[in-house]
Amino acid sequence: MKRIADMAALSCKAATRLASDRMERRLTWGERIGLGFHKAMCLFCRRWVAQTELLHQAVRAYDQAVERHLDSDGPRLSPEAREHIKAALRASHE
Amino acid sequence: MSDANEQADPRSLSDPGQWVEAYGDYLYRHALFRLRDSERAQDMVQETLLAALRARDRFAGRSSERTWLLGILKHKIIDHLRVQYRERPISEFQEDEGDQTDEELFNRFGHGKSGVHIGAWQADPAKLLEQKDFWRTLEQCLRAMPPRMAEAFTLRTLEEMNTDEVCNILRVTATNLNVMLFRARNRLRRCLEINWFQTATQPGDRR
Repeated sequence: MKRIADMAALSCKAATRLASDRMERRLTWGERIGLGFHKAMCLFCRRWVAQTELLHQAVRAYDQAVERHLDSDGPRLSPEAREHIKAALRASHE
Repeated sequence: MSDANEQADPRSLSDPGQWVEAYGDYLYRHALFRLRDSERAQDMVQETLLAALRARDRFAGRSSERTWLLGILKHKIIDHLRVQYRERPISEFQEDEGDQTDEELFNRFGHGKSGVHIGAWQADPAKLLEQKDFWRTLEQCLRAMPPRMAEAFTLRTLEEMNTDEVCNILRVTATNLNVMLFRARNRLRRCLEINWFQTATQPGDRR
């Protein structure tokens, strides 16, 4: 008996590629079916999608995160850079 | 911090002499996340404040001073990227050219070459985004990517630009872009899995 699995022609590599492309363009009807079917049976690809979406959510939240973390440790302009920029501003202001 | 410098009249800007102290680090952090190069990030901060100085008559007070400056910074960064990629020869992308992390991807149904399976991430998004070290790790993962790939990812995700705009800035076709984004997503997911979530499991683990 042919395994149902065999009928899902997509490899995980192809499926995750489609999942990524879906964020960029409309998938064709066939692509959507193939992806949906594969995901229904593949825990790893379901996780890949969920994890990728989580990372997207995180990156989108970056701007707000900077607002909250401004006072704590993090990259700062070096003292030299500070002075350099101040000098440039003063020169321009005149 | 900036409140001490903002005037009572929201349509007027604070003293530019105070801008570096008030906004320097803030702008620097945003620039650094997007460019991942401290010298360039510093240059962007300087260019932003100089441009703001020249344009200060046009500040209408519709947004806060900080938001206004951030907007200028983002434009400066995009212009910088445009120039950078205009001058750089476009590498030939082959559709079937493997990226290193493609090799770690699975064949069918989780039986990968290296035997690495995708483990579940125990992550409460709300708590996760509060952790400084998470952001640091994320930045390092972006830094580990080829620059154009990281740019493709941040322009699409962070700046939420559409495909055409990103292709235009990076001088790639839409197909190239989709390949780059797929690779970026794979690398990022894998990098965070190893360096943060630490759930790369070995074959034989049942999850």
